[in-house]
Amino acid sequence: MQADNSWFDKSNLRVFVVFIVCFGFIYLDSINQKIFNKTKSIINDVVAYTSYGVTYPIKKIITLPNFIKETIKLKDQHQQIKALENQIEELTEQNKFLKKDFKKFETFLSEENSVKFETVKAKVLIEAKNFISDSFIINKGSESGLKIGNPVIKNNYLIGQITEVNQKTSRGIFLTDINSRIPVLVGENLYQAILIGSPLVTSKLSLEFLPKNSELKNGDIIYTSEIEGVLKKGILVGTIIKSAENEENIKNTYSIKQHYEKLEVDYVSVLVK
Amino acid sequence: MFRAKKNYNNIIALGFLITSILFNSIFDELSLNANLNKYFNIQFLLIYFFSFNRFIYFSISPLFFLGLVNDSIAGSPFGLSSCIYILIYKIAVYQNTIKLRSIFKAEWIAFGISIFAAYILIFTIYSFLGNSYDFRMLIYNFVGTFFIYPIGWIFLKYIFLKMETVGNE
Repeated sequence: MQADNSWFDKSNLRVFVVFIVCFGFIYLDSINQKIFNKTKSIINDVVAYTSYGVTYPIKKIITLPNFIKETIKLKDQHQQIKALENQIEELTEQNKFLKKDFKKFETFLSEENSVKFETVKAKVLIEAKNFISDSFIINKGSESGLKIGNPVIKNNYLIGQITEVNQKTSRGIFLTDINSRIPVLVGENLYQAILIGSPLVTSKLSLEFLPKNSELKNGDIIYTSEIEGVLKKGILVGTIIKSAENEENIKNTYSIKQHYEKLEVDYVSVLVK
Repeated sequence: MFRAKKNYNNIIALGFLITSILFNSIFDELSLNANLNKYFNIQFLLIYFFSFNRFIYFSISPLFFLGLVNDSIAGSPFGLSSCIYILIYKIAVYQNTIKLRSIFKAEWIAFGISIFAAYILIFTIYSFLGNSYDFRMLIYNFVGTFFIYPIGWIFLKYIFLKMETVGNE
């Protein structure tokens, strides 16, 4: 028991050894050592699936009220769509011009399909948000062809990027993560800027390197700019919201609205090509 | 020095810590858009409290492995959390041995010192690795964790440890 009262005793040797091991791990992680990375990848896969399995029932209970609300909303929307479809059918039968327009619309849609990106659908296993990172883990990894840098999409909007790929899982960072840097084009004039995650800003996003003479308008759309082999041009990111009282003042009066609800991030698409 | 405790109390104490690590995303969903878990770190509080009160599973090996699990979930550099957990554990145990436990204020300040050392370590490692971080977030998290300690302390001391006493009787 006497050993407990001294700072330097045999028990501290164990602590010292563990500290050395920890620092060794941090070092090997930082230099991307091959064998260490493979082991870490296996640990990450096991931890991700275990954590998902353990937290699944509680998550379901928590999200149940929202799920019921959404289901009721969807039912209403479905009925509205059905009513609209019936109206369209009646109108197309009555008017041949409308039928022609509809055919044009069909051709337009088929053309749109031909330029679709190749995606991998994935389920979000864990959302890990703390004071240092704002990330998520999905259930697809290198086996499904995912690579570091692949954009992650939800409802046609960019929500993040893949930063770490394991065999069966991958980690992505949200746009709001402090390490997130996305080249973007803003507004009708397609101003070039870098979208950066800023945890302390209300919208948690900010635009850096905007041209000095740039004028942002309320509702300006933000698209991605191309990085060859990594990021495609033209993916929607969000819209500029300007506060009404400061509309005349150009600088620092905007916020960026992302078009997805936090609780909606359950399934995502990853652009692989 | 070690108080005789029934095993299930030690397991529940460890369970609290495992829950706080695994349920990160659930805490996040509960706090909705407020991201409350960014402003305080419940794990530091639990490790300090249970190490200070010498719960047997709060020792080097479990904390080392739980740290790796936390790094795997949070995406922080592998080994960082283990390092921090063990640092807080070691300071708490040392403070326990010098009989600091009699006054709450002293215990609270000692907690502040231990987490301050932990945040200094985080700051140093992140700076060394060149990772981006927001210095203000570190400060907010430190202040938040420090001020949430009395609430956690009341809950753990007067509810959890009371339950434990009743259980032992």
